[in-house]
Amino acid sequence: MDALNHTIISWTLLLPLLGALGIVLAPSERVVRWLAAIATAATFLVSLHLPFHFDAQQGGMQFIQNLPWIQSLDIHYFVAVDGISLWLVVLTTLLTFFGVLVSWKAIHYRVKFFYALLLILETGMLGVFVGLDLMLFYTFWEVALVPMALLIGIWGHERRIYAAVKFFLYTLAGSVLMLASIIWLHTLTGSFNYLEIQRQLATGVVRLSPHAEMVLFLGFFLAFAIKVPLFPFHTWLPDAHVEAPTAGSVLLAGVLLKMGPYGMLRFNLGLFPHASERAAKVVIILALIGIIYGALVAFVQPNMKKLVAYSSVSHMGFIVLGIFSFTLLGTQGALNQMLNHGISTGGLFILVGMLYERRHTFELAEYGGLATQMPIYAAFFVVIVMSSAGLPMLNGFVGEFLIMLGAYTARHAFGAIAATGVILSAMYLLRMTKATLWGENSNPANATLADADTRERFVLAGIVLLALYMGVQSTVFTHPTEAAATQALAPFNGEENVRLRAPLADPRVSTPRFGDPAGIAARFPAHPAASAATFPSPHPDRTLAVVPRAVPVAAGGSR
Amino acid sequence: MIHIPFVFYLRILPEIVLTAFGMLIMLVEGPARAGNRGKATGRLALTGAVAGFLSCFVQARYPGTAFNDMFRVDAFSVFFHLLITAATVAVVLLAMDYLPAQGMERGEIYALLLFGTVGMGFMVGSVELIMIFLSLEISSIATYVLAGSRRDSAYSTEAALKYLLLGSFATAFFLYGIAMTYGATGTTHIDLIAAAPGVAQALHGVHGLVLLGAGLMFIGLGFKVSAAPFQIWTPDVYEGAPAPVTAFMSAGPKAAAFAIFLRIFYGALSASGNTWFWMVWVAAILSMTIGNIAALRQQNLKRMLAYSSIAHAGYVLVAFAALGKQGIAAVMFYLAAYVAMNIGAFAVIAHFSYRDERYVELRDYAGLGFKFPGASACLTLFLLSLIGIPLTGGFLGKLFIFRAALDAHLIGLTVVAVINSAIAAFYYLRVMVYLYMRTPDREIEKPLPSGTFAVALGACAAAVLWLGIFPDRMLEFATRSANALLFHIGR
Repeated sequence: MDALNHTIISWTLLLPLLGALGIVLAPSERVVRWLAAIATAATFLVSLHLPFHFDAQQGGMQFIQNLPWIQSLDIHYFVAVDGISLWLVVLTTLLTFFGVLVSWKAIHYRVKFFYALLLILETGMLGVFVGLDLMLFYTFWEVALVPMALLIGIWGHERRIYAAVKFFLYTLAGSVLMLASIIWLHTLTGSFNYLEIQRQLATGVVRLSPHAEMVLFLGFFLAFAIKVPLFPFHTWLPDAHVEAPTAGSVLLAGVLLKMGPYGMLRFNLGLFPHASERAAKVVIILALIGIIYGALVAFVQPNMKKLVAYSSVSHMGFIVLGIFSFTLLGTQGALNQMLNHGISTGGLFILVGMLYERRHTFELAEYGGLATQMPIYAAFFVVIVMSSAGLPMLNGFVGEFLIMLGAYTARHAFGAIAATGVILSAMYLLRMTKATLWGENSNPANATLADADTRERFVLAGIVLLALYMGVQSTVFTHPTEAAATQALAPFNGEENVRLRAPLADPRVSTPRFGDPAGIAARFPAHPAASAATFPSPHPDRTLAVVPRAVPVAAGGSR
Repeated sequence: MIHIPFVFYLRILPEIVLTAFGMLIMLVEGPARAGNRGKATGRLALTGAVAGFLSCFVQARYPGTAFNDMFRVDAFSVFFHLLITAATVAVVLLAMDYLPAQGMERGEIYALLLFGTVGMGFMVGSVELIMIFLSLEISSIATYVLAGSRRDSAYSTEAALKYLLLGSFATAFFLYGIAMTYGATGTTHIDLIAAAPGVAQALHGVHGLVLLGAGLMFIGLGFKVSAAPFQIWTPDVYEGAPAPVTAFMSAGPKAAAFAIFLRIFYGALSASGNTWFWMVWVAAILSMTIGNIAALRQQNLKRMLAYSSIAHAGYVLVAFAALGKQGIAAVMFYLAAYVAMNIGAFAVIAHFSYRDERYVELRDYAGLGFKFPGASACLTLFLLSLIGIPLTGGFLGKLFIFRAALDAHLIGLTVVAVINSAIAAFYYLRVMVYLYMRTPDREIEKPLPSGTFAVALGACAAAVLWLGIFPDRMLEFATRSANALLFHIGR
């Protein structure tokens, strides 16, 4: 088991590549599709090992594998997950699996190349979340960029080339500045190891002048802000989304955008807390503008896919807001919202893609009254729209609510403005629902539309069930992230966070672990040791520690 | 009769081997049957180039100086010998496919390739300014002729003439610089110049001559490496010359010129570094910016890569400006990666170009990605490496350059370089867009049958990946070479 724990991340990285290799050698398109489905499903199942064996009590890195790679530069193959990246890994593997399924019929030319790229993309995306050597992280960051640009440019719609080039150049422009910052950090600290750099910066081994810290902060921040995308760096997003094939949109919204907030939390807050604090006000204002602006633009879109794309701008603003509120609630909410957004916006893109497969248009005006023609599809549609709008009991509510609480605690006005965004999101989403599903089915082209078939139902049911599960059992998802979030916030007004943490995690109530066979049992107070005994843990000794949070594990405490 | 120890000959073994094969080709070409002529000379040239490459390993076993201290074998010169002869092997492989396809199978092209390589070999090994000048001329004259070897193309003739006229100018500048340096220091030997008292006070009195000499030599060499503002000739010559020759020019002579750049400026004039540093700084910024911005507008792939080579000279100059061992090693690593990716890119261009280089426009590449997946995938790899995407040699080369520059606190220069590499991505990306995303508006003819091209292409692709994923050995070699370069001047 120990050997597995230390190589499990490498397996999740390797499996898609093996799948891609198999696809290149595969004889027919049928085999290619099945191989892709099997490889991504296997990757998903393997990645489930992580939450099952994750030790939620400790905030540091787990499942560590650290091998030397380029010795002359001291670059390591250093992969691990903590609470911040845990669920993002699982989200990635799940959405790639869905991406393969929704492309089954939609992609009908250059099939082999498509699935090979999709699988390489999966490795790239996973690597971004698990790579903790800065060079390794950067490598994966760029590796994820190339296949995505090709996916958009080859299998996209009319303006695909423009969108692909724009996407590539925007992201690259941000990331070269990040590269310069990484190298600069290396010349200062002599290391590319994230934990080592963090230790040196936090303990004052390397002292940065406020100016230098701000420059480094911006080098990283710009790359992530473009990826999020934060207003005003968002203009590539609607183009990329509208033109991308469905699987591309799903992964773009579901995973690639998450690299932004992930990076902010990991690198900007983790390495440059003072600069983060100084920049927070500006960042929050930009996030709030993004929330409102994205929602307003979404509201007037005649194009469904563009509407969903702008809703992403709005929703991603919430995540940035949560992170830069520097409250545990906000951070936890942001981490949770990353998953929710991946599921519900991914779901919306899948829904829109299914309509496009049937009618080859995204214009809202072309649709209407589909509920009579496609009742099952309509039912899924409504649930997923509601989850995106943040209806309680569904996943979207939890994250947004936590973020708003966090933002409100940080400053009342932030919470108030953010709340407006939620109302607006209900408005544009309901408008989309009304225009597609309800009313008179008057367009003769829509008279013979087929309802969702088995494959489509499988994907949609998966998303809806997940949305429901995440909405009801949200602690399963927030509990493992808590220690890491607390630790990430340690340099920021530590006292306040301890107070804020109380309502979220009452130490008297043990929260259920993911995969708990008796979820109800977890409602009852139980000694943590008992649950640790039931579930094999990679570090049984550490599970016994009741509240070890805020203990800096090689991460440095408050300064 | 002067006694010349046998080991001296071993120290210049690659040059001897290459010269012998070059002459052999010229001897064989006459009597060979007309139909068989190209094949025979091509094989001879390949054997010669490979033998030249292998004899570098023999040479490496006998470090030391030869011929009155004019030629030196150390890690530095062996590094460049290996790089240049390897480039020649790749170019000969390309030419063996390209020349018959173009109906220009003539032995003298192979011979000139080898003779040019001899010149470059002497360039990188010489530690004597006059010797450097002579070998620079040997290599330049070979390339002047090669550039004009598409006899029935006006562009090629124009290229040769332009290259010759401007090149002669540049060498004259270089020679004048040597004279000034000699006037200031009384010697033309690199080590003795370094030790001369005037070099350290280059700004004062008579020692201003040193600065003048440095400036003139900088102009001459700047021309050879096509650094701005001495880059005017590059696009026309690159466009007009036959594609394999362009590959050759962008790799070998450039690397060799950078080698003597390093020898002279780090070896001889390092004590006055703070005075010539600004020349390099300005040239680096100009080269990167002019090269990249001009490349954005090119429709002809050869011209585009010509401008890109100007920009890449700029990146190398960034490391050059870092004034340190790390900078030297970065220059050398980058050149190795650059040679591999650039020859590779030109190899694909030569492959697709068809008779009379009919298809070298961007639009000819539309849709080729799926028609010829192998060659296109390789071209994509080289383009990604030129952009500087991780896992390729080009990325690590840039990484080393940026690191050296940041270590030397050249933050402004690094930022300019970083922004430039983002701008550059656009035009490289455009080629990929045509390869994979656009539909062709006219069908191009199928590339002519090829055999050796694939070998060259595979080797370049493997080298780019090897440098990008396992760079340790190459970097270690480059660092050792940098030490060797600095050893003799006691730094």
